[in-house]
Amino acid sequence: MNKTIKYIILFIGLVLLQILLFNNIQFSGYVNPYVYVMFIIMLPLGMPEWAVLLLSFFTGLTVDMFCGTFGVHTAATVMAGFVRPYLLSLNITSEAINPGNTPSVKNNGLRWFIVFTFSVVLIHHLTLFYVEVFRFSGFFRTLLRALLSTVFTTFFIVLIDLFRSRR
Amino acid sequence: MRSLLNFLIRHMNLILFLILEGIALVMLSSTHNYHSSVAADVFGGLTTRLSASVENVKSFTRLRQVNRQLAFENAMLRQKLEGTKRITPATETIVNDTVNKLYYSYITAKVANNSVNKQKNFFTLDRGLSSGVVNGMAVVSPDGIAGVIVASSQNFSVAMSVLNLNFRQSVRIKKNNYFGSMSWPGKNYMYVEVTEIPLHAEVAVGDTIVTTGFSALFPENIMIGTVEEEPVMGGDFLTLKVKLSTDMKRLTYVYIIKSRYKGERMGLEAEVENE
Repeated sequence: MNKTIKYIILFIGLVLLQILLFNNIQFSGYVNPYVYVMFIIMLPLGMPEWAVLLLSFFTGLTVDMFCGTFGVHTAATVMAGFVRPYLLSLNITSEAINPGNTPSVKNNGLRWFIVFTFSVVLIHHLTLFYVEVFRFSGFFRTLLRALLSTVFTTFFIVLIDLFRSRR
Repeated sequence: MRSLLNFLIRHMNLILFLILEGIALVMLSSTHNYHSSVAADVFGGLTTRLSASVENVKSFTRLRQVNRQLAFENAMLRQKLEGTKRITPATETIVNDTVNKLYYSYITAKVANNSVNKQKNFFTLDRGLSSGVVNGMAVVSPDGIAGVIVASSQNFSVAMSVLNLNFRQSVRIKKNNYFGSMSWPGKNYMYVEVTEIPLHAEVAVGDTIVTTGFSALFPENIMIGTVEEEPVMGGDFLTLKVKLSTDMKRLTYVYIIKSRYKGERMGLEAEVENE
């Protein structure tokens, strides 16, 4: 299948999953998984940085539109899109990784994928939760919320990726 | 000029990042409270309609509970009705002029979108300007306090939930009238905090907390909840942990309260403050 179409389907699927399912699940006041970040994680490895940034911006804007929180998700996704290349260069191990490949458990191994996903999601969630609260009182509670949600989001993203590659 | 151009090209990604992040922050600060309502208008109600249909499915699963709630409320209203019938013949001098005494009127509404898991929660209602809903109206559920309208478009309105770090309401202990200020500490959607209760006020676990009529938004004696734990001393005041009587997670049908004399009263109060 054409790669662009694949990504469009992935984008729509993730946004719908987020709005219809994950926004309605509340594990407790501390855990809100935001799995749509997976779209930014899954972008092709060799993609130019500016394109990643623009796509991140667009992703955040879409989610913001549906959540009724203008700017909160956009700020977080742009931040995630910006640090992604740096995290990639930190995380890439000795084996050469083919540019153009989609990051996944199948292509890069479970451990690499978890570490990479966790770091992108962590940056996204830290930005998201602090921008949402927009104050530093209750600093550690927001930190705890971000960390717990990061763990759950990472778990769900790895799960979705495993499910995707099994088909 | 050439070196400037080189600089720009070399740092293109950083500059693009700063621009996009800047746009996000400007959007964030310029459309803060009424963003949901703006979204409802700008995107042709598509997003609101989508979340309304999600809410529809959710409200279907809550029908049993809503029915029980309505039956209970009916019973209470019926009781009041019977009460007036029996009393009226004995005290014939009372003229029950409901038209002139009517202070508040109620508009029913259904929750179209709701959240309890953010720090600043809002919920959307399916009534707007066309039903006479404007900013500053109080929103209550059959069980008690729920929020305040902060924005309204033609057919929808958005209310700031009690579960919003910016929500404040003046409240009192029902049994002895000591008043304080209610806010949500942002932890659990079931509990709010009441501060500024004087130290000498006697408070016991299980005491009822209701609204005062100080704010002109909420009528007096709207139920907030019951004291959950022994009061904590903080500074010169007591802080109470109060269990909300409204289950915000199951909010389905609400009443929007229109205060008929709010404009007059606030105008008068503002006049004095300007002196």
